[in-house]
Amino acid sequence: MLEATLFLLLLGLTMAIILAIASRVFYVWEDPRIIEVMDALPGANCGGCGYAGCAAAAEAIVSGKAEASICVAGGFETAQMVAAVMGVSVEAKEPQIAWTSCTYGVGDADPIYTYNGARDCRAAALLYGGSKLCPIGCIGLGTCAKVCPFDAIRMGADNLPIVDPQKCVACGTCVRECPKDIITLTSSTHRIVHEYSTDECTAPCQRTCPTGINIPGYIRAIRNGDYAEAVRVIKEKCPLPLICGRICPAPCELECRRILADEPVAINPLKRFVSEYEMGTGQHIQPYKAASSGKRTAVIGGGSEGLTAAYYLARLGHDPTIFEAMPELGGILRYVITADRLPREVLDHEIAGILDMGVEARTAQVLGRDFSISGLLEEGFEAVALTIGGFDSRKILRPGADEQPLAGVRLMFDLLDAQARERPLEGGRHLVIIDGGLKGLELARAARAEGTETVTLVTHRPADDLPSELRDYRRELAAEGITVKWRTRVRGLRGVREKLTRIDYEEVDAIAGLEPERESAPLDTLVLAAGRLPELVIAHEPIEEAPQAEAQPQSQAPATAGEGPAETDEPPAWDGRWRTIETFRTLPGGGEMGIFTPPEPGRVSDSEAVIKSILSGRRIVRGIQQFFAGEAIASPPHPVVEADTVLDVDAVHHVATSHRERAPLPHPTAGTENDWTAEEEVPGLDEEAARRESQRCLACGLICYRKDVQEEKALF
Amino acid sequence: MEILILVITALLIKNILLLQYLGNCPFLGVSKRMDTAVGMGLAVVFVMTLATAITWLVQKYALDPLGIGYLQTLAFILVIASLVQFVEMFLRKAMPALYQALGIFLPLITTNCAVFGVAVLAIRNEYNFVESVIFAIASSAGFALALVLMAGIRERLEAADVPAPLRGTAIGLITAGLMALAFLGFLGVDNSLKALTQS
Amino acid sequence: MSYMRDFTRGLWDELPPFRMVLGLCPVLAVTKSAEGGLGMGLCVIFVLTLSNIIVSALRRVIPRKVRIASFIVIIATFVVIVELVTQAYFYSIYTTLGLFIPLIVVNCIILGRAEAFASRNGVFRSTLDGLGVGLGFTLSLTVLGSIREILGNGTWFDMPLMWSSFEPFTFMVEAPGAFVCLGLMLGAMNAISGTRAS
Repeated sequence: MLEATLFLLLLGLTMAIILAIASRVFYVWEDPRIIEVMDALPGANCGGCGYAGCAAAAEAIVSGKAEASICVAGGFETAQMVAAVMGVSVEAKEPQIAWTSCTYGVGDADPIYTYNGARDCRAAALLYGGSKLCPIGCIGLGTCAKVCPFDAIRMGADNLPIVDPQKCVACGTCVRECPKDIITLTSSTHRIVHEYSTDECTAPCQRTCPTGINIPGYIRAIRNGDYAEAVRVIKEKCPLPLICGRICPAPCELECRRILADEPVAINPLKRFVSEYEMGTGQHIQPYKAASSGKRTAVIGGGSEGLTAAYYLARLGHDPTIFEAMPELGGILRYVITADRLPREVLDHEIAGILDMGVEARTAQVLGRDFSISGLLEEGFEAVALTIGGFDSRKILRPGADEQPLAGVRLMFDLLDAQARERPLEGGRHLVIIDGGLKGLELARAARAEGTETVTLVTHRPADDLPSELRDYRRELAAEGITVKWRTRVRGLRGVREKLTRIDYEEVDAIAGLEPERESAPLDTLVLAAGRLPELVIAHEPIEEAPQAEAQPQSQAPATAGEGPAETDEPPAWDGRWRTIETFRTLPGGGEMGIFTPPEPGRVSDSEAVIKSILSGRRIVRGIQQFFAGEAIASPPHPVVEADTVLDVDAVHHVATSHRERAPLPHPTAGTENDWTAEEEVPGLDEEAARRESQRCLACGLICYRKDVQEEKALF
Repeated sequence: MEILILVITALLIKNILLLQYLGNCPFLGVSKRMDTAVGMGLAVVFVMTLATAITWLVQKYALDPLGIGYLQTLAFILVIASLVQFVEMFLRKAMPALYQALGIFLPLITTNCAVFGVAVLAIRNEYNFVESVIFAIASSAGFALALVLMAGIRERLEAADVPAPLRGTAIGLITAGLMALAFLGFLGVDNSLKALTQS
Repeated sequence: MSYMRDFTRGLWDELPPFRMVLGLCPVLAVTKSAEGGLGMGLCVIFVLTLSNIIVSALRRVIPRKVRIASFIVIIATFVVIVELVTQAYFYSIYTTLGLFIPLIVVNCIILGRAEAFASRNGVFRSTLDGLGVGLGFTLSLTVLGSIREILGNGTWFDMPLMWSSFEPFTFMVEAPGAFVCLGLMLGAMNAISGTRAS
């Protein structure tokens, strides 16, 4: 008895002592805030934050690895509670919801087999990726609805998920569980500047349209007689439907799947019909617009690109102001295209609609004469977009004008002109010539002879693609003080007030997954081998970033006018330093980055059609939006580009043939013989014809299309 | 040879989870996902081996000489509980990475009857120290094996069309039953092994 | 009323091992026969009730940090008592249950009740809770043991029950039978609750 008691006492005591010592020796301090943060979190353990449950998230928040606002399920209130524990402040995040683009249910889509297995998409997807022919189609077994921890998804009659935006908290569970990756999380601002990816269901016409108008969407609205909705759908992607309805070359119609049966649907005439309907009402039908962000933006150039940029900036709530050199807005649309193709009242109505979105316009303001970019930044504009666009107004409209729109940025023919007239080149101290070829080399030598300290030739091309003078004599050129940089693109320019100070380079074709090599060099004069000023977006340089920028190893000399950031001033007044931000460029080639990207430096996209400048206007805004949101400025992961071969159909079945509707040509009866060429040369479709034509649309998806006769289900 | 038989017996023929009815709570609890199953399996191997070694020493050098074998239960559970606590603290300080991976499973192990059961079985089977340790390693490996197999099946079961009342634990138990049935087949191995040693 | 709830909760709503799916090891191991199930159930009632009483009585004394260890020691003490008593007076049960008597220590139900109920409630309510949950556990085990014994051996409490030509399903008394039988019973309970709810 005694032994037993003693033994237990001793054992207990030993263990207690060991543990007591261990708890001292192995003491790890745990932040008491972890418990507090955990109490603030909803405890749903949905994993929407990317951590394994709320406990892990709480730890990550307290250790500073995660933001106070990472809990998507709890929303802003939870974020505030967490922030209170952590002693930080959070900004309200824009709510996201789950979003899917599949529109044809399993019953209507082409099957590859009939599925009778377990009623779960994940199981069905194991078998040839699901029963649909379409690789990105919804399998329709409702796994997303089953896994949704918030009951926000239900399956509709056609077995497609319907998301309840009231209940969806964007936890991302459905996105993770969907085996076809057809659900994405998106916010309304994301959708405004959205670019299609190959994982989305898009119709052939929609993919071909440079700006990606949801063509089946607006034709469906016309079919339903809802013209206002049709206008809204178009304006989602194209702010100038009246203009496009008249002068768009309509590449979409060349890809219309109806061609496989008979004639393409009259896509553009239908657009003209609904936009004329809008004009006829005298009202402007406006799409969704976000609340004001409190930010002001400036757009320089009021042509189609500038109008589009201003329109999207207004939709995103970034309060845009257009600065236009000419007395009226419109650019090429007004001053180049003749009135018989584009009647001026149509143009005026369209522009009035854009101004109506909350766009301010200041006309007859010439950059470099009446205002300057640094002046705009000083005035409080947080981003300045240069959309000088289709023609370089400086050279073409006012020859002989000598003001420099953007100090230090010069077009190559300015220098060639100076050289030909045997005038000094004025290459400054640090000259960079972009994509100049052998003419660039000639100018570089001339500039060196004039006393320019460093001259750099930059090209995105690989070395073996360069003229042999540049390729083979680099060492000799270096001795002459001329550097050649191949496989290099320009990430950005930096400046102080009206002076360029630095240029940032980035290696092209970095090995996938590796950070591309970057460097920065001083600069005061930049020469572009382009006919016009590039599209650029300029913003204030954040003060705290400056030391890092200066610390880069390649930087040779301190910025010419940069005295470094002011250390004392509170609140930090703008010290005059600015930088360009990247906007992503032409997509062929996978969304090239860099601000002067091929094929032509400084071109977001070509200006051969108004619809293309609309795209570039929106892409510029996408860059600005991502910059404001603090996201990486990037194209979507798998963008739809013209070169892409997406799975497409090469024959249509069960489509009854029909004729394309045409507007009757007016008979030149009244007046003279050529009366009809004066004003409207071709009238649009009337309502009846438009309704008939809208019936012809096959309402295509990536694979699916509307069949007049229901096909027999394949029996395997 | 006898060691081999010991290992095979403990690992497969008398799998503690499926045929010895030990450690079933965590078996059903953490076998829903593969990564947690692997973590739990490793944690059990680690703790079971240590626990069996220490309890063997306690039995041989404290309980037996003092003649208080009836305190085995109390003494063992004390030792195991303290050990788990100690291991948790030690890992947290010395090997934070391992702690991150296994830490959350350690408290579960305190009440894991498999650890306790194997410690007691090692004594009841009158193994010597080396045999006890090998027995513990093999048993816990059998535990981990069954757990991981089960997790693999249950991940697939997620997508299966199970009748509503049987969903969740019920179908898990039935699956475990079928797995146990399969493991019963190893009895044949046992017989042939015995024949082998006799010849 | 609430005292009544404390008792009855363990009989259906929180019926172990079906509802809580805890303490499965003895459930599976000792239910080869009805006798084993009943014996184990009685042992658990004893340990659970007494440990609940002691834990609730000491709930204000036990430091929070070492509560689990303390609970285990309390439980282990009663288990040792059970072990010695069965060994002395009910030797057949002792041999039937074997290893699983000491294993009551680590039965999650007992520790679970101590943590979830007894450490937060008074002695009387904890007693009721212990009795209720213990009784529910005993009933479950006895039923499971009966089914397995009748089907697997043709007997009930060692009394021959089936007709003479009955061929016992040996499967039922083996480990796989335990799992499958428990799974089916759990499914049946879910089905009953499901129809009740609807």
